[in-house]
Amino acid sequence: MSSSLSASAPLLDARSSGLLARLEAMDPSPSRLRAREAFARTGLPHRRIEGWRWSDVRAALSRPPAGGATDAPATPLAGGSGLAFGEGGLTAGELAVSSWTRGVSENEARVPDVGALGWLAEALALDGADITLAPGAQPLALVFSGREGDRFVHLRIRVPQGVEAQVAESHLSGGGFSSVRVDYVLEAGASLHRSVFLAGGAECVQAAVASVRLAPGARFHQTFLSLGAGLSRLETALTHEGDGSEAVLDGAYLLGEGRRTDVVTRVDHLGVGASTRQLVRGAVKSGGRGAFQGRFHVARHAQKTDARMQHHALLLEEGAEVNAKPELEIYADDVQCAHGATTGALDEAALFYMRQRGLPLAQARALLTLSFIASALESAPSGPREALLGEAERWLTGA
Amino acid sequence: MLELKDLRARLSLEGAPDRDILNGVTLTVPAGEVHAIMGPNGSGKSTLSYLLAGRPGYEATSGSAHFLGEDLLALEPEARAAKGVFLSFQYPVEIPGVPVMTFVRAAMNAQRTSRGEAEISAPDFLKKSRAIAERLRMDPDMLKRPLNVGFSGGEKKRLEIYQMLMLEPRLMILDETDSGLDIDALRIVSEGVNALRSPDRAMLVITHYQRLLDHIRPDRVHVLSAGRIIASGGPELALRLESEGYDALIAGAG
Repeated sequence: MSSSLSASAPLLDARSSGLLARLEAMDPSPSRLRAREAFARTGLPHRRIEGWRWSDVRAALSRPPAGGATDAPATPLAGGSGLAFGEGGLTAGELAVSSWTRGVSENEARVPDVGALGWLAEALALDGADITLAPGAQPLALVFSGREGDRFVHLRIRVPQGVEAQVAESHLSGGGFSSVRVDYVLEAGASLHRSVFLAGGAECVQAAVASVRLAPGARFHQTFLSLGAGLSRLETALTHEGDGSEAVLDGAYLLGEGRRTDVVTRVDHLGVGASTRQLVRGAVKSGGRGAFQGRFHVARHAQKTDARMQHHALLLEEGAEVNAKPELEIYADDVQCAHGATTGALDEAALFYMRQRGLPLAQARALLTLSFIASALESAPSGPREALLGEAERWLTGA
Repeated sequence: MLELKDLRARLSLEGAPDRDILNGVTLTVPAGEVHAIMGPNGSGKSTLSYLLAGRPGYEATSGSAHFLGEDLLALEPEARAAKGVFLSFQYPVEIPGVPVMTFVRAAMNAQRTSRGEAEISAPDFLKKSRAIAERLRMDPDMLKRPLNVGFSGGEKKRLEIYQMLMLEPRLMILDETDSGLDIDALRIVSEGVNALRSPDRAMLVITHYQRLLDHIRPDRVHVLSAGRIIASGGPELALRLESEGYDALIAGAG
């Protein structure tokens, strides 16, 4: 095993090699070995690797820390029960109704490609959980935080046939490097709403990687709000494995000075008549950088697929940056697929109108920006919707 | 109350050459009076309203504009609003995602805060809003919809007057408020406007046609042409314009 690793080692930087060496010292299970091999193919991703142009993890981790690690500024999303992971792994856990085991068990037949940081999280996970959400389970809250060092967590969450459930993830690292991977498995007719809140310190490198597998008729609805981090990547790889499943992948980002976010989704349509709706909206101030990479893949036999992707961004100030890369890959001939992307500034005429009625400029800008991104958050169910809109409003008004 | 002296202005917008748009406007509107500004298209009527309200890009190059003795041109648009300047827009702007009531309440409270007054309570606001909507015969559901989004031209104008009645300004500038209104709506809107006439308020009614002035009777009428006032008179001047047209008057002034 060591020899096969050293074959690819010349490509790797010191940090990547260090991470691999750490795994060598562990007693690896077959799935960890598989994950390690996948990670070793690239090591820590950098800007010259396809799909990582706007999240150069290698560069971000090679910068010496300026000692600015801070506690995450935000409060985590609430749930009826939940698990919290900090620097030492699982720090608090209470799952009232659902069954769970610590660590992820070895029974995954199909393995979605979750990218280098997803593999890394699996290979080096110090902690994790395998959770099956029971009927009537309260919303599950998952909180990930920490201020220094490396933190890797791997979770699997199953939603059994016909069960409706909610999960709220909060990724709130102040500093250090973390990658959290969650594998969602929805059985036939199951329904899950996943809300994700990401807010990290200016020096933190934070990845939230999810794979989502939808059985026939399953419904998955995701709503995220990202306030960015030094480097923040939200990666979702979703597969419609059967017929008639539905996915909604909405969310918004708000980025200030020194904050970045890279929203990456890949959706594979393999069954007949699946639908995907994606609406991502963002607003960026000077010194912030947002990126959206969306890819819809429709297999040859996935007829009647209905997939729409939209990304709209506001550049709030000079010196703000937004990049968008929407892609449709369609191999079936009877489908409806579309994407749209816009980038613009706040409407000056609207700002003047609001000021004429007495709103101070800053308040007019905040209100207009909030109304711009709100439509990407409003499809969330009551609870997460108010929480995410509240966080957005706090960010905009500086309260 | 409003005093304009030899006001000259230039429009400088990004991507367009600067343009002189007012060429020396002198005008006094005493408290309690309604003055009409009439003139052909392109005479500078809307420019005057934007300049007084403080729209970015509209710059006074010389002369002065005082409101209640204060230099209006030195104030930000929101400060002018808090002093009581209200512009009813010729083309009200659509603001997606912001419901009418949310917006008007935020505006009212921002003005009050700026004046050092307490914010209005939610029940008081609702009560006032309901009474005004009823007076303007507006569908209450309209007030829950995003501001101006998908509203007809007439609905937008009615909503401007709703906001004016809610905010109770001291200087009202009505820019082509009659456009887009049918006869019944014109009467309802005019009644709303007339309800605000009072000894401590003034009004500038900008219009192309005389018909609005049948409903909102002006004390004085001024004719604006090529950025200057070329004639002033009583209400009879508007009637004369209606029968003789602008051309005769402009030719006479030239």
